[in-house]
Amino acid sequence: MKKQNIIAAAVGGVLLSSAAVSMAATELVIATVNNGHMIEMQKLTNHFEEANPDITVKWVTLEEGVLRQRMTTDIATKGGQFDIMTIGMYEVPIWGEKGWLKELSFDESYDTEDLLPAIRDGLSVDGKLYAAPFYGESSMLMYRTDLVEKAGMTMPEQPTWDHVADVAAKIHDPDNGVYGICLRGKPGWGDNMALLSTMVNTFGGQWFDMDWKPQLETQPWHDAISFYVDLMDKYGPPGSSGNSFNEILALYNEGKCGMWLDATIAASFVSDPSQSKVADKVAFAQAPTKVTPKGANWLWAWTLAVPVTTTHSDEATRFIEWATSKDYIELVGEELGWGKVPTGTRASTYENPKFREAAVFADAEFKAISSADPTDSTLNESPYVGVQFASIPEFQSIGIAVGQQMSAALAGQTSVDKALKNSQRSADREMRRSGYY
Amino acid sequence: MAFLSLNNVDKFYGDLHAIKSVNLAIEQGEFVVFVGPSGCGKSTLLRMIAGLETIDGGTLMLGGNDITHVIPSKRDLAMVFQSYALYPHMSVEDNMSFALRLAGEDKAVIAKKVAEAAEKLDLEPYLKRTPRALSGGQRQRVAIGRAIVRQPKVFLFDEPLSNLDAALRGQTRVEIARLHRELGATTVYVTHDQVEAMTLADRVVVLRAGHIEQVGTPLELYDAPVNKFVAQFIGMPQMNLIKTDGINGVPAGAVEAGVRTEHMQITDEGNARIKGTVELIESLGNETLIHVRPDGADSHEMPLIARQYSRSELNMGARVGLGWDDSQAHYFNTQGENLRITA
Amino acid sequence: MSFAQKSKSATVIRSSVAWLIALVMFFPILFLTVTAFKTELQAIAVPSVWFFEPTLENFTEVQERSDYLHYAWNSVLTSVMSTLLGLLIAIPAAFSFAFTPTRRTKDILMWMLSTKMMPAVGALVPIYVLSQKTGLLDTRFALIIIFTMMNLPIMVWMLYSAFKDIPHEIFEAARMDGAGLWEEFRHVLLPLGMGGIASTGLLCLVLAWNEAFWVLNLTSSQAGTLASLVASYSSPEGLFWAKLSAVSVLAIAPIVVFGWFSQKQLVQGLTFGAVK
Ligand SMILES: Nc1ncnc2c1ncn2[C@@H]1O[C@H](COP(=O)(O)OP(=O)(O)O)[C@@H](O)[C@H]1O
Ligand SMILES: [Mg+2]
Repeated sequence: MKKQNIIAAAVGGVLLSSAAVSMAATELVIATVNNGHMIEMQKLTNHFEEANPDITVKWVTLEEGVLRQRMTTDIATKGGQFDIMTIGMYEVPIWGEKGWLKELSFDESYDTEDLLPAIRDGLSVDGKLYAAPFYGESSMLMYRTDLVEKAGMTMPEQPTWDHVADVAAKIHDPDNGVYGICLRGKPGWGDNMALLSTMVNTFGGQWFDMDWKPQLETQPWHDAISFYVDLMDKYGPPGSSGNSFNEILALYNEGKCGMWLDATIAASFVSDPSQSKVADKVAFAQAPTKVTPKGANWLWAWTLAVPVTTTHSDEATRFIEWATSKDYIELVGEELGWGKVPTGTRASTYENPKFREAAVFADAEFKAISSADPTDSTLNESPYVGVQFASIPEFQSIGIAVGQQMSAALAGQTSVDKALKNSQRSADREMRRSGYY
Repeated sequence: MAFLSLNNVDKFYGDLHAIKSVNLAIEQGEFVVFVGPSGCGKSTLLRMIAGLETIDGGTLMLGGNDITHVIPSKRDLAMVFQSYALYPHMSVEDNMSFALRLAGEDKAVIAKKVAEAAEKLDLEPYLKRTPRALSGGQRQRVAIGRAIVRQPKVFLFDEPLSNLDAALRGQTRVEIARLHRELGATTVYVTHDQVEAMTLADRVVVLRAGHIEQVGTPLELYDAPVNKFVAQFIGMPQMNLIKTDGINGVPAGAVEAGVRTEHMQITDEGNARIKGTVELIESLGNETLIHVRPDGADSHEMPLIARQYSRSELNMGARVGLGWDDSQAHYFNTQGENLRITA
Repeated sequence: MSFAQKSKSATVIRSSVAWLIALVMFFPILFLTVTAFKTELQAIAVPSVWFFEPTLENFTEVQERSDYLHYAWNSVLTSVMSTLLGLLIAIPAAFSFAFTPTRRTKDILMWMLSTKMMPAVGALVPIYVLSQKTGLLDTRFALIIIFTMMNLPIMVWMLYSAFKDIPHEIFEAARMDGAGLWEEFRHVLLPLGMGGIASTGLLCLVLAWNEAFWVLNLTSSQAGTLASLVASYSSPEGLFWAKLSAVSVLAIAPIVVFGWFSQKQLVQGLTFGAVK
């Protein structure tokens, strides 16, 4: 009997103690995704904590989809679990407008003017800054110099899609495990639709016209998607409809892709000899164009923002100010190497000679990011902000639905016509239901 | 006042009135056997005494106390189950001592009682084994041992022999009879086997469809069954039943005559009460059963059987007459009541 | 002679088939473990590299980046506590379902099971709001309660079918021997149902250990279990297979080791319950 009593007491004790939550001075809880720059920031957080002894920082790393859902629930239910949130460029204006985010204002020394204007504008609503960019990216073409050379071709700094198709045809050599071009095909508004939106843009199309009517059955969409499906059919790797960034990165680093159009951050991976077999054979060009250069390359940023539900907004702002400052970039450069600094946020980064020396992709990336303009990315005027997305709440579900149709067309399960027709119908329904017209 | 008495006891299973206002008084030291066809409520009645089934009406008295609603563990009765229900995870010894251990009995006393019971039941070599390692007969003895170490007020047995083979069944029956003689404990024993009932019982209770048909000593039941059901249930082979119309010399109101096989006499055809043809002769050595099909009887009707304790000279197909002595016959009315008893 | 030969070759065939099946089942875990010792570049190689110089780099990285012990302790605590709490509720429930059934018993059991058919996400918002309002968000206590609730239907069902195999008369015999409810429970149900209880407990321990949905949704910095640690290693942009494998190996290691050691007891318990 005695033994049982002890066990019972132990069970009770542990149940109780597990309910207790330890309390620190001020603990900032940061919700984030697992990517290289974020991990580096976690490693360097002790510098911030040393400078701010009244603050400790806790990181909660979540998968991107879960992160979005958690943050939304947390704000909507006033959970107050997170003091800082890592959110994408798409959400910032939407959440800012809803009043979910605290307006950020920093010291003079922070030099807001140094932030790249395209990104700063994308994170502001009515001139108020709601999030600070932690790193930004555009898209650009990565290609294998050895293969292009062997095929007797050249790659201009700003190629056209037709030229890219020619090169792909020449270097496509599936028997030796080399595919002409690798592009995203996995359905998702941030996956295949990011790429396809930029293709449609440069083919002269857009998501919505000035009356918010979806434009998915217009000629540019038709041309762009047909071109994409045809190109991937002929020169893409098998199973492209399941590929997104990580899958193609693996292929590319294994030397299986002749060209790859994707996020500029990929440049730092494919040129890193510790993870790429072809690190010394890559070169970079701007995203290909067709009828217009507008919107041919996307613009994205991961940003840090303070939700209104936090009770530590001052401390949170202080942390963001530190994490997105010039000094922080300097710190990463000195501590971890200049090839690892978060890019795409500040003009000063690209002026830094140490960075320019360390990053072979610096020029191409800077050019790509500076040429993107979220407020003017389509040939004809459009009412939305965003290059590869439209910053309206409805876009997410429209993007997913359309992405699935496009992926099906790529896999040959449906025709391009039919996929676009279905896409148009579902987008139209969504917009109508939301009262846009 | 009786030691154990059931007064107007009722049991319902939903709409089924399983036990119908049963009255029974059992004296201390008595061996009472419940018999009856399968499903008549024997086990139910026994389990009501045990407390394993609730009593829905009437009272149950034990040693002057009302135990109608007392829980089984407080009744101080012991039960031997048809499946033995030994504790599979305990040794024979622990099985037998379980009740005493629960009661907080002294260790030395327990050991002594278990040893005594084991000796009585020839279980000494097996005390450390688990039930799994025992034969059916040994398990049976453990089950009985478990009951007797406790020295309960009443022993309850529910068809304890039905899982044993025929030889062992006979042997164990004798054993139980011996134990009862030695211990003198009040015992209620359920069986559907009339041989067990006849050999073991001080008194037999014949049950049918939830009520008592007759209570009496084995011979009372054999000699003076109150009705056709009891008459047919007791005795092997069954009592012959003969439709009395067309037969002269029967009492008024009788529709059937019941004649035990040993009272059925084979005669010449002559002017016998019944004439018929010998259909089968079973020679068992000490006795001979002669099956006779009366003239005019359907082929699906039971033949009449005469039992002789001498060898028969008859052949199959022989024409014979059948007769009986009226003093040894029972006559039943349309309700099946025995006119001789009820008159 | 020939019979012996025949049966010997049959044994050989049978055990090779068994080994083959075991190998197929085990392959993902093997692959995961091997990948954990590769560099990211080796991890993405197609066809897979099987001969390489193993590196501990991934494990070092995991150790540097996250407090493994914190997550592991949360996993141990929540899975063990929820299993104990669940058994505490489910054993009496199954006991009564198995031995004093009523007309509604089957319906109740079906209803309990039917709650498992609703996707968990259907209950997410109410549970999230409830735990937020009660201040239980991101506490191990909340996880223990939820794991318990989540596993209760399975526990009751498993225990119910295990207990039903115990002959009813053994309880009646105990009752006749003077056992009250507690003694029946202690001396009959527990020893005879131990096999079922052990396997139910073990299964629920593993289910709780592997639970990810509620962990990902209800915890942030305090109560996260190993499941959330694993999830945090998936990356939207960047290669992570080797690191993810390393962290997965670390996440499953404790439960695999535990399963290995409890295997013997478990098998013993299971066969023990088969006594009739
Ligand atoms: N638990 C029960 N629920 C419903 N009916 C029962 C139950 N136990 C017994 N019965 C019914 O009661 C009657 C008597 O059963 P029982 O006492 O077991 O007969 P037996 O004389 O063969 O031992 C039978 O008709 C049986 O079907
Ligand atoms: Mg019975």
